[in-house]
Amino acid sequence: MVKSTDIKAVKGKVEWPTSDFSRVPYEIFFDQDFYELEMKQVFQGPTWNYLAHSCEIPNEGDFVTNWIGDTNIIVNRTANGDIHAFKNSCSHRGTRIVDEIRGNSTRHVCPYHLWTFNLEGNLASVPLEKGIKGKGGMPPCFKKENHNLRKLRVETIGGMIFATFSEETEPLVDYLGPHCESQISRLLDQRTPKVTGYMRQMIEGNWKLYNENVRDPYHASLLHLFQVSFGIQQPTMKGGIKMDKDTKNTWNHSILSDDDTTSSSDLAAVYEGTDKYDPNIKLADPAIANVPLDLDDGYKTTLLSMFPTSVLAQVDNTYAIRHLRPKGPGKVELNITYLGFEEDTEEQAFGKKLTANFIGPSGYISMEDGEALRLEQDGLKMRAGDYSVLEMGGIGEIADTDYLSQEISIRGFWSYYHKLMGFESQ
Amino acid sequence: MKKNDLQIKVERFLFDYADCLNEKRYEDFPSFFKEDNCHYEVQSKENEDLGLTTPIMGCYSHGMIRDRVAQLINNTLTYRRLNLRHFISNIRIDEGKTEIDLKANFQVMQSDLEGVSELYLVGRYEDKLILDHNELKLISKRVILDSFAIPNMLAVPV
Repeated sequence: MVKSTDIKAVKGKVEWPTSDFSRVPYEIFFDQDFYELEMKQVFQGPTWNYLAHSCEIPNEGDFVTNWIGDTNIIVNRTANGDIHAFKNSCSHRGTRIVDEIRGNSTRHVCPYHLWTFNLEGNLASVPLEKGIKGKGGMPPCFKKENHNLRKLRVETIGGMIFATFSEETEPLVDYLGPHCESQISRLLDQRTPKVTGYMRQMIEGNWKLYNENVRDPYHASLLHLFQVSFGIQQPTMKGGIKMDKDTKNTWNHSILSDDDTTSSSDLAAVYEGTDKYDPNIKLADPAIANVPLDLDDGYKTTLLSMFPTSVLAQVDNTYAIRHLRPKGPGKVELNITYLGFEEDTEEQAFGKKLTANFIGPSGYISMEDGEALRLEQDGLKMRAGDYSVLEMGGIGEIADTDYLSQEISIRGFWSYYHKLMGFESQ
Repeated sequence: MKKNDLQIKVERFLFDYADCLNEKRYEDFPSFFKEDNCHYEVQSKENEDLGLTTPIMGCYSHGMIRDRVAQLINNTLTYRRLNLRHFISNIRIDEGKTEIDLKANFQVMQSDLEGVSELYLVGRYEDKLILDHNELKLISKRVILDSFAIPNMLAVPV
């Protein structure tokens, strides 16, 4: 925990030289002091953090554990169907209570002294509370109701369960904004989601580099050449980016229509001078590229990036919730939950298995992200006192765009981060 | 074929498979699979134990297996230049009427360009092989990872 007297000193370690956030100080990505300040200001602060999808805990007692920053959280369902979340740390001596990823239990019992908590996080029983034969036990002033687990506020949207530590956090739909609300509804409310798999990727980079990555359609057609060759994303493609009122959340989308497919000679011009684009690459088995989209609204990709660590992504015909779990300033776990739908036909379910090859740590159009972030973290550590450059798409005002090659939404992320970390009152 | 002879033949097949990957001869990788009928899948132990089916890599035809290594062969992928070395052990075979069931453990070490080595992956193989003109071919290879928190990326087959 950062002492409040130190916060000013920590923040004073860097400057933000431009008010449009087209320059970002590199120390933000590798200095342990900023990481610790983030744990307090961002993760324990007025933010909504993804925990699970409600389809993972359909029944009474079903629980999942997940991370909000460095804090492990239990989320579970009670008898009346309500969802509760609390810190996975005993109110007695701090012991981690649930040491599993998921399961079912009617109560949570600390393994150390068997203090028992109900599914609302309330302390239900303390062994030997009254002592034995009048000896020992807790003092008369001990009241169980004063020793419940640290509870979080919980709200859901499209089945996605979010929690916040702060009483100040605005209602979830206001926090997410209208684009998130309508896209979550488009992706998750039309059908009945179910989990078809989990995936974990340990990336040797700061958690904010991943936030930049998902707000950066500029890189998509340059780093991920596979998708260019097969028309999933092209530098000339229609699309755009829309943000919420705080510019912290981004809806990044691309649309492929018949009239804007680019000829291979035009594409070759974009990549001239690099050795990356090979116009002759062909799939030996094109089945993977021919899986029809479930939804007929033309969106080839939809990336909803929700500050600070959640992404709901439709990439081609894959559906996934991505969640970042920071592991110190130089490392982040990308935890992915793949979704299908109860209504899927056998053919659609197989199609989703095929298109799973597009995404994740081995995904044809995503595997290089982990590598790019590792190289970025490796390089920027040498640049204390210096700043990254975010000017693609224009500088100055942070506003929505109807084009893809831009870094404006990254500046949107920094604008809100800067405010939340308290740099403004520096 | 005598059980012992088959065991030796299968072990040699696995070691040749490992060498193909260790030596980055990705163009040879598809030849370990039977051309008209083969699967290759990499799955996490987490999903496997939960009965969840979305794979890390899933190739359900010989063409898809060729596609999986295409970017490695033509060098259009951005990935870390590591030397990988497979160690395969605990090899057990069960001979059915037409297929050979193979189970084995594996470990893959990674060594970077400056010679620093560390563990990359650990897990098990669950394979089905057939003898095709006295040559072993995979009709199904399932790679189930204990180390399913993938370090950075998994660009290459295992």
